[in-house]
Amino acid sequence: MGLLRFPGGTIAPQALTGDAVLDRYLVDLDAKLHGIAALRLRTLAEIKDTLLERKEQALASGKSALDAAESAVREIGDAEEFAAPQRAELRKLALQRGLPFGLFMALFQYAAMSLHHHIAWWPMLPIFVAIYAATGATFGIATAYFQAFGPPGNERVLSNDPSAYLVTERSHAGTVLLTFYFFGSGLVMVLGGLKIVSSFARIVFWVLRPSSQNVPFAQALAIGFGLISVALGVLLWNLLRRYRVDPAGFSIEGLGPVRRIEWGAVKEIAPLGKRFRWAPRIWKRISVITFVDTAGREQRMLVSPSMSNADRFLLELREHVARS
Amino acid sequence: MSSEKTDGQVLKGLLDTLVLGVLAEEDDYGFGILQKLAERAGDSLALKEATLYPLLHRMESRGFLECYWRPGQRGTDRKYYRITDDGHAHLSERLVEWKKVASILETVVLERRRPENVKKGRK
Repeated sequence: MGLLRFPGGTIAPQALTGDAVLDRYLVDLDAKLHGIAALRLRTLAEIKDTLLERKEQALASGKSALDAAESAVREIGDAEEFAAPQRAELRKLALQRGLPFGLFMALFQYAAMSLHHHIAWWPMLPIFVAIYAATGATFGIATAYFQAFGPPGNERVLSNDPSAYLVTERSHAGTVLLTFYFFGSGLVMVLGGLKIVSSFARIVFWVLRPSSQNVPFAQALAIGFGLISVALGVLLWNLLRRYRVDPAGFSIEGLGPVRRIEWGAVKEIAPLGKRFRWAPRIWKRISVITFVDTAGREQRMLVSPSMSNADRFLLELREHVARS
Repeated sequence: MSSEKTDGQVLKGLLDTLVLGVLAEEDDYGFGILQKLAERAGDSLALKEATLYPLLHRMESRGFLECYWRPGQRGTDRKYYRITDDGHAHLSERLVEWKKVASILETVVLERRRPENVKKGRK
C-alpha cells in the first residue's frame, strides 16, 4: 500500500471477469495501482477488456479455456509495467495540485487571520499557517484522486423521467463542500476587509461588529484573497450541473431554472484549450459548447470531463454536431 | 550493444509517430491499435500492451489524444482514443523529422554501401 492509495481499498467487483486466471492478474494489478477505487477502475477496465479479447482470440485458435487465459496474461505483459506509470502520474498530479493548494490555503488563512490579528508578529500564527497549508495540500491531493470520479458504465436513468436515457452529473459531495467553502469564506473575508462585518473568527459565532482592523495592508490582503475565493466558488458553482439527455436534446439542471437545448441548436463543441492557449492542461480538457438559445442568441457553456457519463454526453454532442 | 537492442531503441523512438499515424486514420481502442501495428509491421515490432498503454496515456496528457468510452461487445465499456488537432500537428512534425533522418542516412551511409559505389572505390 502506498501513500497515495486510499486505505483499505479493494478491487471493485465490476473489474473482475469471472475467469480465475484473468482475475488473479487483475487483482495483482489492482494491488499495485494507487488512488481511490474509482480511479483504479479506469485502468482496470481497459486492461480487462484487452484480456478478454486476447482470451477470445486464443480460444478461437483452438486453445483450451485455461491455456487461452494463461496465454492472454502472458502476452499482455507484467502488471508492474502498467502500474508503475500510473503511480508516477498520480504522484505528479498530487504534487502539482497539492503544492499550489497548500500555498493558497496558507496565504488565505494568513489573510483571514490578519483581520483580527495584526500583520505584526503573532506567536501562534506560524503554527496555524502550517496547519492550513497542510489542509490545503490535502485538498490538492484529494482532487488528484477525484479527477477520475465516475467509473465507466455508471448510467443512471431517473425513475421519474423514463425518456432520459443518459444523465451526466457531478454528484461528488467534495465539490459541493469546496464550492460553499470558497464562496462563503471568500465573501466573509471581503466584507471583513471592507470593515462591514467583524473578523472571520467572530462571524462564526454570529457576532457582527465592525472590524477593528486598521492596517490597510491587512485589509487589502483580506479583500484580495476573498475575491479570489469568491471567483473560485463561482467557477465551481457553474460546474454543479446535471445534464439529462433524451433523443431530442438535453436539459440543463442547475441552481437556476431548467434550460432545454435541442440538438439542432448546438453549433460547436471544442476544447477550452482551443480558445485559451495559456490555460493549464487540466482546464483544456473542459469542453466549450456553443449553442443558440430560444431568443436566437449564441451562448456558450462549459462541460467538465470529470462528471459521470461525461464521455458519452460529449460523444452524443459531437455526433449531433457532425450530423447537422 | 547487440543489434536487437539497437533496433529496439530506434523503434521505441518511432512508437508515438506510429500510434498517431494509426489514429489519424480512425479512432480506435488500445488492443485495436496494437493489432493494426502488428499487421503492418509484423514481427519487427513486438509491442505489448504494457508499452502501448502508458504511451497512450502520456500522449493524452500532452494533449495529442483524447479518450472516450463506448459500450463494448461483452457488456463492458471500451476506451477509445481519438487524435486531436495538436496530435495531427505533432504527427506532421515527426514525419518531417523522420524523412529528414531517412534522407541523411541514405546520403551518408546507404548510398555509399551500394555495390556499384563500393566497386568504384568511393570512400
